[in-house]
Amino acid sequence: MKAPDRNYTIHIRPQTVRKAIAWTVLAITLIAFLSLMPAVQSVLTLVAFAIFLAFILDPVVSAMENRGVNRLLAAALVFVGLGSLVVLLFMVLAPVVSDEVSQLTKSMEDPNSGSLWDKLKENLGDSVPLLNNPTVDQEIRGKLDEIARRSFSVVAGVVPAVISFVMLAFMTFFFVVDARRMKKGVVSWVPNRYFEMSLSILYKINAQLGRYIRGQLLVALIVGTLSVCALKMLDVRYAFFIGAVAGFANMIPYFGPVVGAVPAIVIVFVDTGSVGAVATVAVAFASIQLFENVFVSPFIVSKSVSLHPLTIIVVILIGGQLMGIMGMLLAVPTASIVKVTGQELTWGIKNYRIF
Amino acid sequence: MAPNNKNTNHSSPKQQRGSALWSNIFNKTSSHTETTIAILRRIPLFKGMRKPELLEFERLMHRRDYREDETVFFEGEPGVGMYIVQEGSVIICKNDGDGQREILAELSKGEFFGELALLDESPRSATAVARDESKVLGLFRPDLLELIERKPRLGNKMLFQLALMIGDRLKRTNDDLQSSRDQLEKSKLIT
Repeated sequence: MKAPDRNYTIHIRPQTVRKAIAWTVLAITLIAFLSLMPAVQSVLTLVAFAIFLAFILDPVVSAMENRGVNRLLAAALVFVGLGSLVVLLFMVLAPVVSDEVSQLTKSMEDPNSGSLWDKLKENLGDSVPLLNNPTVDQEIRGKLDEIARRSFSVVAGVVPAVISFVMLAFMTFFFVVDARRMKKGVVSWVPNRYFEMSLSILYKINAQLGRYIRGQLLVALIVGTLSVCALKMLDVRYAFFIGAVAGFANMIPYFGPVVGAVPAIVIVFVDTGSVGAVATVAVAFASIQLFENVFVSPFIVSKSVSLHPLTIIVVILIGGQLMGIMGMLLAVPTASIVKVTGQELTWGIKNYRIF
Repeated sequence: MAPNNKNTNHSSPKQQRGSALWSNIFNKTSSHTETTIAILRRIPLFKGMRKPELLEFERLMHRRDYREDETVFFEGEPGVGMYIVQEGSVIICKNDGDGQREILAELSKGEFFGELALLDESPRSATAVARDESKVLGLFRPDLLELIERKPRLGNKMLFQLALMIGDRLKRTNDDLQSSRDQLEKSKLIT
């Protein structure tokens, strides 16, 4: 008997090949970008911050433009006003915050009695015997010294920080003044077939991100102010510093509120040793969070860029690994950019019959 | 039809190198801008506008080059904005079921198409194809919306003209419909 013919033909649709090529190109670009990351990290951070600030300042400049002021002049006026405000705030708040930071650093660094760690051990040592273990004690002292040294290196790095600040201001200024022309310039390079789609996607991303960034900053400002007020009312030391940290940290979902509350709780515990006082501070922070979640965020932060909690945790960890605290702060906005871009690209590819 | 990969920025190399900031300060108008302004003056949407107002629209416009037989947009795709023919000619057509295209109109220099897309993202009702090598100016909805927020008076001027144009078209369509209905009734009476 003759064996059946077993010659099979596999048909691959052109769409599948195109999709495979697109994904490969995307993967290669991503790998190339990640491998180049360390070399251009600081420049990229600066550019990202400038774009971030431009998003915040754009509505102010546009509002002045609406009243007939030339955009260049409006941007210049906003920058002069903002510069004066920063200098004024620096003159008023810097001595307070710097005093609080130096006191905090001293209390961590000082190995003699009265240090933060000793006070903590004194208050908590009886209930947690592990804290009296010499190895643990040495390890934690080492870590605290390192943090204190880092704080000093931050202070020593003021000159490069000022240079970066000036560069940041310049970049932001150009982004604010020339944003429209820049967008037009970018779109002018897009081939005709993808032109309308790119234009539509670019505008949608721009609008959504603008709302998201401005919303986040406003929420951070509200949380920071409420934290400072609550801490001042509860007579907690370093209220301005902790409040500012809580405000900024609030931009990191899930981890942020904890990062903001922990320093206040530790300081209150070290100072008073009272569980009641700690509970009061914890309740104050929890109330601020509740207020933020129920009354502030739903009305301010755009829902369209909401990410799954698991995605948020993963991107924050990746951001932290790549760029430390700055990476954690930038992780969620970056992931939101990727999400909005992905959403709009999918919409565009479907509706414009690209593949 | 393959997409055109040509650079569509028509400003001179010197202008391209110069920063937008400086051109903003000195605010020179090139001969290219003057040509665009002259074209805009002839379009009903910009009727009665002064030069500074037309310049404002000119700044929002995107210049694109199309090769012969290259598609500007396809029927059924979401509309983003309108186009004005600056050079060459563009045909507006519909594809019938047999892959043949029925030409609805041929537009030459100074004529415009796709203006309804300035109002919403609804799908294009026909396909636009460059008949020969053409240059077109594009004005898009997001830019117009932004202009309405930034300069409401100017934005309203343009929207009013657009409303007049659509109203006029509606009247003509109603008249055509009425005359078709009359003809149909007449033919019924005859038979």
